[in-house]
Amino acid sequence: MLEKYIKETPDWLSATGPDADIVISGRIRLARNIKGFPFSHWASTKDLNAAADKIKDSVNKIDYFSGSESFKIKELDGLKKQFLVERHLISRELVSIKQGLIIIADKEILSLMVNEEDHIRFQALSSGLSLLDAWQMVSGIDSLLSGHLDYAYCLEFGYLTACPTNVGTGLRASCMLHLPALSMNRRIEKILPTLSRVGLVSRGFYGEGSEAFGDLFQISNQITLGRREEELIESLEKVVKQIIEYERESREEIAAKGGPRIEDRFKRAYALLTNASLISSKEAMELISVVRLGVATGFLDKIPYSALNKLFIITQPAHLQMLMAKELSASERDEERAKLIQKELQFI
Amino acid sequence: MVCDKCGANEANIHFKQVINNQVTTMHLCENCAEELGFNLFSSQSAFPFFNILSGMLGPGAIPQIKEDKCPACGISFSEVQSKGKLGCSECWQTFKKQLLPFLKEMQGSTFHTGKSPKGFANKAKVSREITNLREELNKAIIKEEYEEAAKIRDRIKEMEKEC
Repeated sequence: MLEKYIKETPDWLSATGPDADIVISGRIRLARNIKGFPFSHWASTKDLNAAADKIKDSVNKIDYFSGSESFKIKELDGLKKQFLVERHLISRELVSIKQGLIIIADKEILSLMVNEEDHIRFQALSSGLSLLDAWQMVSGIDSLLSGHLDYAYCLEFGYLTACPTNVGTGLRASCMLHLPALSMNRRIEKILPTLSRVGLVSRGFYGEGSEAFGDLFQISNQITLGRREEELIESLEKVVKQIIEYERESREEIAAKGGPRIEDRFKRAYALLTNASLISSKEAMELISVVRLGVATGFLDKIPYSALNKLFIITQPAHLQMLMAKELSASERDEERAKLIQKELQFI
Repeated sequence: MVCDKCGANEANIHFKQVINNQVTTMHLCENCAEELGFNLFSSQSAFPFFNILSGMLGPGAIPQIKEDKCPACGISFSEVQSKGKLGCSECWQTFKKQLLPFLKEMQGSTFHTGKSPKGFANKAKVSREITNLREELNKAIIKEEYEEAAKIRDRIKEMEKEC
């Protein structure tokens, strides 16, 4: 039952990992294909179904997946699919793939998409900056799976993927960073364009093509070939640590500068968040971001980062409707969202 | 010269494509070129001529140009280019020549050095060593250390047998 997930908060929002005041989460994703099957985009329904059965059978042989649940995309309604996207469990691309499948394991720490661009795309999400731990985990599962599945692989190009941008390691490591201070002083505009020079790319909250609402930026490796997985992860972490340092400096500058104008900005955001009658999801994200910075700089009383991280997700449209267990119009959602935020923050 | 499409305006855009020694040319005016989806200043259109030919000649016209197809999945490189996705794992060998420049450009490398699946670990290690030795061989040749180069070459041959 997909409904049970709405009552739980995924572990990657817990703010328990390293540098969790800035790094919301880390993600390691691996792309794999099965030898002998056409790549998903060109495959027939029959081939896609056969690949899905093969993958499911192999997954079932691994103890780690014993408590996992799988959902066929074609059996989910639009709301549930949107919920999975908001939850970062499936990509926006998988939503329209009828033969798609999602397997969720270990309290959402690990999830596996079947028949997206590649036959298998699995990911581990973790709190804070702990990509190497997430990699160890994903790599372990990958090795177990390779004992049951014949991966498309060659010595020269490594793991063969549908798109040359993923070939080799098939690895995409990414960090979700909350950078409100760098956005406020606009230094972010100078930092982001430099990322491509070191083989990295910045995306919004929901990956490729999405906007950076709530000052949330997803930074990931672009290169997947010619370097070992650990090297790719370490070079990403190195840059992320640098950005963390810049964000901390900017936060300190804001705290040191102080004054009623800055203080008012934080208090006003908090007042809106806890008193408004209508809040859109975009406005909610912007206000949560300012409040989170207010807490970090000491202008607002302590609110746990975990509570604010959770708000980023549960105020999204599909989450809100799943929580209310009914479909809501946009204006109804704005009203329910305002009530939900007040409820979540009143006991803190 | 008059535009091949409208037959009215002066053709000032000229295309030539060579596939398997077959040359196709087309002369178009600016309006017709744009109408056919070819933005002269767009970097998005990586293979504009292919699109234009499709537009001019209608569906099914392009396959008349004989192209290599992947023996496993039957997909041609034009199809790979149009969708941006390969057909199957065999395509990587079939279209290797065409893919290598892309990899160099996008990935800065053409050789995997990361993890390998069960059963490949040892082979992958040997394969990586061969790559390193090839680099050493090149350096030795540049330095005109031919004796050393011969030794490295023999070592590569031995290792290739293992692989």
